[in-house]
Amino acid sequence: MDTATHPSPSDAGLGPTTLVFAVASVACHGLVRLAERTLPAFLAALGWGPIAAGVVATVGLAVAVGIGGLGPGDSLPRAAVAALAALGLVVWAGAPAIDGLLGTPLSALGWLLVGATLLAAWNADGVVGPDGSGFAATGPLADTDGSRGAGDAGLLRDPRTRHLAGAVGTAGAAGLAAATFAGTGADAGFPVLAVTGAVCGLTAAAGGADRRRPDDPDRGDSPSRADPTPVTGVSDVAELRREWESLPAGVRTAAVGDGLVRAATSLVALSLVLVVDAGVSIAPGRSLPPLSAFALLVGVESLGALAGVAATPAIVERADPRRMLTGGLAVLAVVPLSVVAAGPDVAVLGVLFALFGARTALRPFRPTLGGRATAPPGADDDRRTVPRTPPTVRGAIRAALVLAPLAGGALYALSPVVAFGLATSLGLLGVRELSRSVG
Amino acid sequence: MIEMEGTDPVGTIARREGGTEPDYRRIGRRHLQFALAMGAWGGLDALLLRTALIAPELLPARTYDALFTTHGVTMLFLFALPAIWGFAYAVVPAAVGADRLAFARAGRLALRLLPAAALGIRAGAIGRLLGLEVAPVATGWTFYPPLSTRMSNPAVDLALVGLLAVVASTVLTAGCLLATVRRRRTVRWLDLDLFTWSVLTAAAMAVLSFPVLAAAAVFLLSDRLLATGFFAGSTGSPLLWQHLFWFFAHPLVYVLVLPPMGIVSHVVARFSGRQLVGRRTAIYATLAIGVLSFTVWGHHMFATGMDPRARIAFMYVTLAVALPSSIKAFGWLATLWRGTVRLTAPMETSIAAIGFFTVGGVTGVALAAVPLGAIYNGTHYVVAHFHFMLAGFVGLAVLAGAYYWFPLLTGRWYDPRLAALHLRLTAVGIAVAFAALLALGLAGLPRRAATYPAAYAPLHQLATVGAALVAVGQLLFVWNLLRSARSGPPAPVDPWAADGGPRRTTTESP
Ligand code: HEM
Ligand SMILES: [Cu+2]
Repeated sequence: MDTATHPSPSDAGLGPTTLVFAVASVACHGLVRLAERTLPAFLAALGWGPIAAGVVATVGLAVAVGIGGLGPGDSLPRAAVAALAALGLVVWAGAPAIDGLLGTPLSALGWLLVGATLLAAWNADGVVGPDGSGFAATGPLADTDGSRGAGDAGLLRDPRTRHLAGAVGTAGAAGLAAATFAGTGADAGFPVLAVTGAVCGLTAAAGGADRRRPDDPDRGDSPSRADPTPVTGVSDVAELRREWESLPAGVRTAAVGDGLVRAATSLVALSLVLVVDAGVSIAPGRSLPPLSAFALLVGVESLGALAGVAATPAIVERADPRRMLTGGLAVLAVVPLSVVAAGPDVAVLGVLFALFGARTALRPFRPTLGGRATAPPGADDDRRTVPRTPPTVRGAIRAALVLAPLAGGALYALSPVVAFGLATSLGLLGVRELSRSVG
Repeated sequence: MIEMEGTDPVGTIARREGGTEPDYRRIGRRHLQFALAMGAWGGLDALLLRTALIAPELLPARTYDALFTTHGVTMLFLFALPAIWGFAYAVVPAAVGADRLAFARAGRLALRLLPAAALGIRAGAIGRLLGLEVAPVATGWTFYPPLSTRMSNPAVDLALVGLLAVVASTVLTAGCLLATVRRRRTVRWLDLDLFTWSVLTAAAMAVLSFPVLAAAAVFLLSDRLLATGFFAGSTGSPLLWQHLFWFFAHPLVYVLVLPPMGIVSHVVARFSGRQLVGRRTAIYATLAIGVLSFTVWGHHMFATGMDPRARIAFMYVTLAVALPSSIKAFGWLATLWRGTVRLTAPMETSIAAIGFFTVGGVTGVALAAVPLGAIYNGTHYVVAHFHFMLAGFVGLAVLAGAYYWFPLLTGRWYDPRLAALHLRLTAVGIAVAFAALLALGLAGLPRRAATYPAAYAPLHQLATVGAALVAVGQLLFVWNLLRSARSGPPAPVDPWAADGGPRRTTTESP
């Protein structure tokens, strides 16, 4: 018998190792998101307040934005990105005890910062890439169009697929987290999530080890090409100002408006867990522990995100982008205050979280985010377009929003109602600006 | 009836002809299937156990004791042992040129005893699943009295009966294999391959050592059920159990380690394109290990306050056993050195196994040295040592055997990419898990305790990460086997001929 009958690795296509890589990556993504979202509760169990959580998120985001600012050619091999993420999660899991083990003086917070730094490459450049949840929801990577990300497993090349996969991963991880927190508190449950995520990350690293990134031209057809600029790009403030001043007034107003809405989202996303934790626990006769309920709510949120991504093409087809945008963002803006007001009512919270997640549907229309905000060919009705901001401005917004989680944490420490009320005010202000620019 | 390829009897197993499968191959295959199922169960125990260690609220401490007990007993007696005998049944008759088993009925009976053994040993868990008022055994795999005599749990009795079934099955199998080689062999003794030599030695050791376990188990049952005093009271002593148990159990670990050594020897030679360096010496080393390992049981009892002179004696014989073991390792390395290495899945797996063997051996020698042993006895260091040996070496060598014989047993190729991924996950997982336990042991953390100072949490978490990686890897392994057995590309009669093997990009090194 001749050797031609032997299987050979050049059998391209969706081989089993690719499948393992994709599944492990998606699972890792979801668990990273859940760990990020429950981090403030973990810190609280260790005796740290919301400001500490804000510091960790801000530092993680700053590093991620820095990495995102590198050109695509500078990307790490994807196996390395996954392995670093796994390491970051292991550090997170052990953060409270590493000092005791190694005799280092970093404290739990210090190790959480180390872990967040290790996770940054994954957040900037991971398989699913920034998708507007987790830390990303809290800062500048929020709602990016997913142009970065090593989602080259064939399956995940298209950003939309990637966002769908990311939402599925987050939903699955939310289920696991809900089960975990049903049996144990934040102090032991968080490490379980982190450890599980590390296993998925290492599996992805092993599965992705022999695959190269695709040649860039391969990705040329994806909408991500519409915004190929580095994520930061604020090399020169003077230049930025020049560019800003040369923009039409409508575009500037739109950028400010959308930026305000994003700031509002970023201020509160990280603290949601604390609100739910505090709010739900006072409900009498509840069997589900609050953190478990929160995990389920994040699951609902990611289902909302899933629905949003799925609905995008239809919305782009049919809806009037301007009304869609202002209406949708107005709803989004009232979510924060409503969450505080909803108190222990899990059903209401579920609706609010779903709406919060469904903001993905607006992504194409948003002036500082959308890659496809221009009118469909042939439609020369200018009511169907929204202004788009240039890459430099987007980079500046991303860089500025790095501080949002820290500010959000500080405000929350002051008073949850102040923090969430301010977020809603900022959001509504942004919507007003936007409607001025598009109206 | 048998197709044999000139120089490599082990490499070619008689294939199914006209739909009839030789008895020995069927018995072997069934042993392997049983081992796979039990390995999954024992692996699940391990995974739960690791979860209990990082999130104790999720599983109560009592469960932890049960989990490490059933994990150990299952892996040793229901996974490793049947897997090894499975390969022996499937391979040895063809390798010695026998056309069938001598005492095939003994072999068939041995096979039928396995489910009974599993039912007994896992009665606690099964009963729990059925909602009965029993708890899984929580004595540790060593069943030390007085703990094991005091526990009123009926699952302990059933587990001991299950062990008796293991003994019966093992002795029948060993007798059957020995008789087959003696009576039906058509190959000269010195031409027997190394795997067959290792199986012969292991079978002989099993015949001599397992009855001791049977006797000890009967005494313990009698203490439990008839209130005799073998291991307690004024007449007996718990130490008697330890002597009997380790007189059996140290040879047991070599019954478990010799055939894997045979697999590694065979695979390394085959894919280095040459004979094993020091082949004759390796055979003698195998026999020497067989004899010496009956003399070293005391090294498990250094902490029992034994006579210092006896301690020193046990220390030296233990070091003496390490000598033939290292001879084997040097033989493998020398064969690899300058060999024309083909990095097939069995070869890569064997090379990883050799790495773990080295670590396990070095940590073992350190334990045998009385002053160090006194410190690390009873810590996670011991757990790391024997897992490097059992999971790292025995486990990986069994996997190497699985990949090596898969095309011969099924006539199909496995998927080489999945195999490579499986190996990567398994080797990294084992290294991470047991390096973490080694560090815990060096820090002095006692084994078999569900609670520990907070500072050790990161190492326990790391060990859990490693264990879960191994589990993920084995899922891929099973998936690969199931998928490929049905729809893998057909393999030629001699799949591992020099130009054969499922190709990967870098299979050839100068
Ligand atoms: C170089 C050869 C080896 C040496 C010198 C050695 C030495 C030792 C020593 C001194 C102990 C006692 C530790 C204690 O309780 O304080 C021990 C335990 C153990 N060894 Fe080894 N060993 C060797 C090879 C192996 C191999 C090949 C295996 C298995 C395949 C193995 C399996 C075990 C097991 C299972 C235990 C612990 C049993 C228990 O307490 O639960 N060892 N070894
Ligand atoms: Cu021993």
